[in-house]
Amino acid sequence: MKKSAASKDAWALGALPSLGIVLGIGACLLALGLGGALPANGMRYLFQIFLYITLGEAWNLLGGYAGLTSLGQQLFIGLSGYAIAVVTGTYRLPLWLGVLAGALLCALGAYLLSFVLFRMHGMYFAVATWVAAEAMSMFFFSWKYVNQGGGMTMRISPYPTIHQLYPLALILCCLALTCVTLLLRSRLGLSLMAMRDDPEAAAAAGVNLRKSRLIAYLASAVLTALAGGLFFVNQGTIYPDSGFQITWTVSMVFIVIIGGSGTVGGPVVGAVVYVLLREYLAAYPGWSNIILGAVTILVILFLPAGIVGTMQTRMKFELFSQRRHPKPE
Amino acid sequence: MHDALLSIEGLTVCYGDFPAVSSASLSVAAEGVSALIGANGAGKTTLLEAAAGLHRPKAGKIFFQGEDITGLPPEEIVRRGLCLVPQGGRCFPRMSVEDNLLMGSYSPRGRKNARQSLERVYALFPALMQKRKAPAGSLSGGQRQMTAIGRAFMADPKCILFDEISLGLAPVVIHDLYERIQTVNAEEKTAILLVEQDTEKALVLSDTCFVMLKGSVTLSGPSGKLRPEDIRSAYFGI
Repeated sequence: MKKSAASKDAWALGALPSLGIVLGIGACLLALGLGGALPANGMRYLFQIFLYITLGEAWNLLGGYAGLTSLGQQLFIGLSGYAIAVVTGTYRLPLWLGVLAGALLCALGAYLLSFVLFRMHGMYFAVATWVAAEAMSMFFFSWKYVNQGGGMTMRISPYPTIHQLYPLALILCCLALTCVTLLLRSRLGLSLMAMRDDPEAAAAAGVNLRKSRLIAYLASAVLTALAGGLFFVNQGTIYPDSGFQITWTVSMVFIVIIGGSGTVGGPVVGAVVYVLLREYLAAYPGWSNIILGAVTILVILFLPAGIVGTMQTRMKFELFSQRRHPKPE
Repeated sequence: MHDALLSIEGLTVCYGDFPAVSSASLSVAAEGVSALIGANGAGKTTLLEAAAGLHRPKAGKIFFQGEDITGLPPEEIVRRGLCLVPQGGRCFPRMSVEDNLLMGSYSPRGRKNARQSLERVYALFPALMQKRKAPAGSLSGGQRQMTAIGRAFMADPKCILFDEISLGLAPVVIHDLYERIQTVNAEEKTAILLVEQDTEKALVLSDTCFVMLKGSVTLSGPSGKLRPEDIRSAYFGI
C-alpha cells in the first residue's frame, strides 16, 4: 500500500520538470518585459505568440485529445470580445469585469450548446460548431444593442498599452499550459484520450462520456475566450466580421497541425511558426494564404505527427508528457 | 429468482424497429463460467452490450447482485462490478498499453487497487509488460485482446462479459487466452459469461451454456448435460 502511494506521488511529480521549465521561461520573459529590455515591436510579436499558443492549446485539447473537432471556436472569441466592449464601452465598467464577463458568458454558452452539439459526432459536430458561430455572427450583425454591423469600441482609461498587455498575455499563456498539462495528466485526461480513440470502449470502461466531453469543452471555451478578449483589447475595436470569422479556427488548426496534434508542446512551436510566417508573408498579400496552405499540406504529407510529434518519436523525449510510466519495480 | 449474480429477464432491445433481442432471459451464477452461443445475428453481442448499459432495453429487466440495473448508464454498471470486453479487443490505439490498462481502473471501484491490479495483469500477460510503453495500435491481434482483457481485470469486477475474444486469432493464442481467463475465474472467483463461435470449445470451457436464436434464448442448461441434438435444434431452429 505504501509502495502504491509512493508511485502515485511520482505520477503527479512527473509533470513538474516541464511545468518548471515553462514557468521559468515565463518568469524570464516577464522580467524582460517589465524591465523594459524588450523593444515594443518584439513585445507585440510575443504578445501575439502567447495568445496563439493559448488558442492552439485550447483547440488541441478538443481536437487533439478529446476527439472533438471544432470549427466554431471563433464563437467564443467574438462573444468574449463583445462582452468586454459592452462592459467597458456601454456600461463604463473596469476592464477586468469585462474579461470576467466574457469568460463566464462563453462558459455558459458552451454549456448550453453542449446539449445540442454533443448529440453529433465527427464531421457533423465540426459543421454544427461552425454553424453556431456563423449564426451568432449574423445575430450580432442585426442586434441594435451591439451597434449591428458598425462594431464597438473598447473604452478603457487609461487605455492599456502593450507594456501592460504583454504580461497579461504571458500569464494567460503560462496558465493555459499549466492547466492543460495538469488536466491531461489527471484521470480525466486519460478518459479524454480513450474517448478520442474509441468512445464505445471508453464507455464500457466506465467513462461518463458527456461529463468528460463537457469539461474539455468548457475549459477550451474559457481559454479561447480569455485569449480572444485580450486580442480585442489590443485591437481596440470589434466587428461581427472580425470577432466571429472562421479565420480564427483556421489559424488554430494550422498551429496544432504544424506543431503536432495530441502533444502539449505542439501548439507552442506551431504558434511561433504561425506568427512569424504570417508577419513575414504580410509583404505578399494574396500569396500569404496560399503559402500557409502549402506549408500545412507539406507538413501533413511529410510530418504527419507535426514538428513536435516527430521530434518526440525521433528523440524519445516528451515535453509536457501526459503519460504516466512509473519505473518498473 | 434473484439469487443469481446476473439475471436478465425478458429483455428486448431494438435497433429502430428491428428487435435484435426479443424477450431473452438468462442468469449467470456467481463464480461460474457461462457460455452464450448462437448463429450470427442471433443477438448475442446486443445482449451483452445491453447488460453493460450501452443499449437501452425496450422491455425486460436486468438484475445484478439482486439490484435492478436496467437503464443505468454504463459507468454506473462498471462501478457495480459488471464489465464488458467488447468484440474485437477494442483498444485505444494511440494510447500506450499501460494507459489502456489504467483506463480499466477508471471507475472508482478499480481505482483503489490500481497498482496491485496492474502488477497482476502484467504477471498474467508478461507480453504486455514488454510492450507497456508501446501504443496499443502497434500490437498484434492477440496482444490487443490481452490488453482488452487486462483492462477489464483492472476494474476489479465481480462478473466479466467476454464478447468473442477468439475472433480472428490463431488457435494457439486462443488456447492461451482461455487458460488465463480460467486462472482468473479460479483464483479471483470472478464470474464469466463468454460469447464463443466455437460451440465445442464453449461447452468444454463452461459450466452452464445458453443458446440464442433470433433474439431469444432457446436452450439453457449445464454444459456437460446438454444433448448435441438439442443444441443443434436450438442453434438452427430445426
